[in-house]
Amino acid sequence: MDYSQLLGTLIEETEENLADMDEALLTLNLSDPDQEKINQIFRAIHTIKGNSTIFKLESIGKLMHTIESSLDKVRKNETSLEKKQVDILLQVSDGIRVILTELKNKKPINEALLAHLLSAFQNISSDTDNQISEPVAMGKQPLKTTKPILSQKLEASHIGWHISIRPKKDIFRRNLDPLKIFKVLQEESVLQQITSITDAVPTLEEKTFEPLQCYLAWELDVQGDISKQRILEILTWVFDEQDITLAKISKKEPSKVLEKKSEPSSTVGKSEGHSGLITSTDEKSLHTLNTLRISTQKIDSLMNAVGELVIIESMLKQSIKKINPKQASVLDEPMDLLDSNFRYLQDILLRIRMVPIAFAINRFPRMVFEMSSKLGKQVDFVIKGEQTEIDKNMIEKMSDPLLHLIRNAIDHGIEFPDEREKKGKNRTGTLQFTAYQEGDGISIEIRDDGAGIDAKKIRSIAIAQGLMNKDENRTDEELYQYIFKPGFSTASQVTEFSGRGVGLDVVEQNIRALGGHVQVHSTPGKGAEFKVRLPLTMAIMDCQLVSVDKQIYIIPLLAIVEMSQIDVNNILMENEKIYYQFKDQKVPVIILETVLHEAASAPELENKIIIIVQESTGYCALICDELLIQQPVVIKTLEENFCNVPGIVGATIMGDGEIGLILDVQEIVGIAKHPETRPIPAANFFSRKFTLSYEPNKCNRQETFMEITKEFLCFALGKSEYAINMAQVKEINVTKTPTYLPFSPPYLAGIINLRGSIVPIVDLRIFFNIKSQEELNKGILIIVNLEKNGVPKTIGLIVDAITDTQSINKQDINPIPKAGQLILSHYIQGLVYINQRIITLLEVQNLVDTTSCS
Amino acid sequence: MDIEQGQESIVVHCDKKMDSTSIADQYKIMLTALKLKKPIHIDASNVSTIDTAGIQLLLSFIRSAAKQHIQCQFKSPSQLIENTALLLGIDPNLEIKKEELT
Repeated sequence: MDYSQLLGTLIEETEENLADMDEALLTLNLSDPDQEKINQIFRAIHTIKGNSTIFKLESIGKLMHTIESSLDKVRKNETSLEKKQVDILLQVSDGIRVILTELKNKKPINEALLAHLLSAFQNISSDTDNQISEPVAMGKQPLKTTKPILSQKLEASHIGWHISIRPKKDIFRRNLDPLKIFKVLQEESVLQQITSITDAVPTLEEKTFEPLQCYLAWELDVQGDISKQRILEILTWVFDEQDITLAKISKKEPSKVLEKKSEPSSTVGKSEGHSGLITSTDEKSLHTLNTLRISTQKIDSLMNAVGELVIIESMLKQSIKKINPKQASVLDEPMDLLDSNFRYLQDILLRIRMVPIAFAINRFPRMVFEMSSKLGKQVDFVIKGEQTEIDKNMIEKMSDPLLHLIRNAIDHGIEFPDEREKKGKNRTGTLQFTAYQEGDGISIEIRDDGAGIDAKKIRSIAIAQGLMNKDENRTDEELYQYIFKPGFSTASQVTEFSGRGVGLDVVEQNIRALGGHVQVHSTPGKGAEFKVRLPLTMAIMDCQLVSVDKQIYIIPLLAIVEMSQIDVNNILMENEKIYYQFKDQKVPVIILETVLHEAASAPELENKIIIIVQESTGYCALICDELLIQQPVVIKTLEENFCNVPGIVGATIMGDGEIGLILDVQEIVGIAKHPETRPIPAANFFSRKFTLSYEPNKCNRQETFMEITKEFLCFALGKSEYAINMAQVKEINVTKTPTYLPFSPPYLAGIINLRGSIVPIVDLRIFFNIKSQEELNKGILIIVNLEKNGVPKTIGLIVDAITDTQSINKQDINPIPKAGQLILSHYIQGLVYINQRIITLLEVQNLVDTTSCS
Repeated sequence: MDIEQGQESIVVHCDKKMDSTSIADQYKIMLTALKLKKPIHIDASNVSTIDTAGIQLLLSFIRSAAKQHIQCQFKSPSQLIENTALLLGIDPNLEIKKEELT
């Protein structure tokens, strides 16, 4: 069996089991333990043991077996669980997580760590065993007498399960071997009887016989302390759920019809002499197990496919507009149906991707417990709404930022018990995590009843760090946003957990990258609240299309509070800044044309549209030219072939094939307020180096010319002729008009939609300073395949004209002559002379800067 | 896997490995063995790796021989084969020594 395919599932399941165990350990009251929590710990250990055995992770299995044996005594009330055992079990949990991470990275198992954990557990257990007889003397109350699970089951007359397996024929081809499953059941001492059904196995000469098809089927009886869930866990490593039928076996009840067994049976393990009676046939299928593990890549592929359909539907709508309205009207009804079905499909798919936020936060209680213990603080951690669902992809990206906010609240928010007491507060602080769906998004609040955030202190640090002027007026909400600035910290002490001013900026960046924002509220002395607002999903967003300077931009509806024609009477000027009176608030105005298109002068505001948006410090008014339609848009990342652009979440391909840029409202507001901090992303993506002399070491002749002769595509740039390696050329096009990309250098002509991919376009004539903007003709577009740090990138190059192709021999390449003028040696492989033509061979790969990440 | 031809019978020597990665070739040799129409001894003493697919192939081989009225029996099957057949509940069909697994 190829275990590597299943290893990911094992790791996921083990992590879930460890989280279950941690949760039970951390909430277990040792003086009066809840038997169900003990069982929860036992079940987690037992499952990890079983799974490790399947994967031949013997040392983990051995450790788990030792713990299981010890816990079994606790379960049977023969001994009690001590604090030091709980501590060791938490250490074991951590250790297994470390090992799982190593397994993920294909590293060998850390046997030394496992041996250490085993020895630590054995030592502590032997100590505890010696203390069994004196639980009261140790200050512990005797455990409640609770009947073990097995005896409860026996009382209910249920002694095992009869299992029918009818496997799919292709299991051998999928490297799945039932034998391994039966071995595990045997090792767990539960397999009582196995009968194979071999009627369907053809003889070798029969045409139907295929060695790699499975013609076997099985009937099994399992008995003992094994749950139905555990049986299914084991069986579904190899068999599909729908191929398995489970039925209860009882001692007392009369027999119901058993399926006909065509062969005599084998007895495996010690026989208890049960009669193999079935009491219930109401569980013929596994519909009770109504979950299915599917790789997220499959869901993502499906989502992409639906995304493409949404774009095609949009294109169809555009095309219908061009048909005679009378003829087009017959399409109204089918188009409406198509539209509603697409909505339904999207909705279902989104729900498939949604998982409870509990998956992201299940490790938080443990972290809160450990951190507060270390700091000597007392914290009640309350979680509300952990079943609130959020997109799976977002959960993975949100886990760390949320953890950071919680850590910050414990370290800087909640005071020490004595300090709290002096302030008249309860010695134990409360940290509340609340998640809930709010409109089209998810809200997550992290609220503590600690010291709160001192806005005055933030102000003085911001002034000291030169982030604001002394005389600047800022609301408290605006001042709180400074804590998200890189390097900003109000903590006077750096602790193990926080205070270095590192992290909150990353938290905010991560949240913003997911299309969300974070707001901070605080009442000094009473506590602070961080409210994170996220869209339900990042894949398809409901958006408003707007026009700015004839270009289409897209604003997520989640960010929009209100849209209307501008009322010039509500425009206010203060200190040369424009504000808009929105209800009873004065909100800052951002003219999108000025920010995005760097308009030299502010346009007339009359007849413009005002869009009130919510950003982290409050409302803001965005001014655009025209409101277009609202529609769901499929987000395409700019990073596939280019890099992250500030102020732009991504792009979408619209019905007519053109690109619309989706605005990151939060970043646009930031750029508008502080234009001086605006980076130019292309500067890190492309490498633009000009040298004054020939640099032989920079010449790539040797590297490129592994073969003697290569085909080159020759083209004109101004009056000179250049050529690039034909192997790098993906296609040649008449230049489409690229979509302008804000915050780009002049040589970046924009981006185009190349069959669903967003491709950046570099005008080589400007890049190499050969022509100015005014001298440019439309040119020809050459699409090339390049690499950036090992990642393939498709990039378009605009040249004046294609001349021809040439086979160029390595020997015919001449070095660049030394010259006293600015030349582009960084990009030049050499020169060739063909029929009185001088052709400069370019190394276009060097256009991309490989010294920085995209 | 190879076939050792004797006067009266043939011996099919099984490979050490009889699993889904190797049985395609073994299947062809078994088909050849059946064409010889002589009593067959299956020497499975060296088998050290076998999976369900391997056991199923042996089962089909024995059934094919029985259908053609060719005598076919195991010659000193390895403990592994016995245990595997037992665990898969196939041991009665393979007519190899039956014993309980512990």
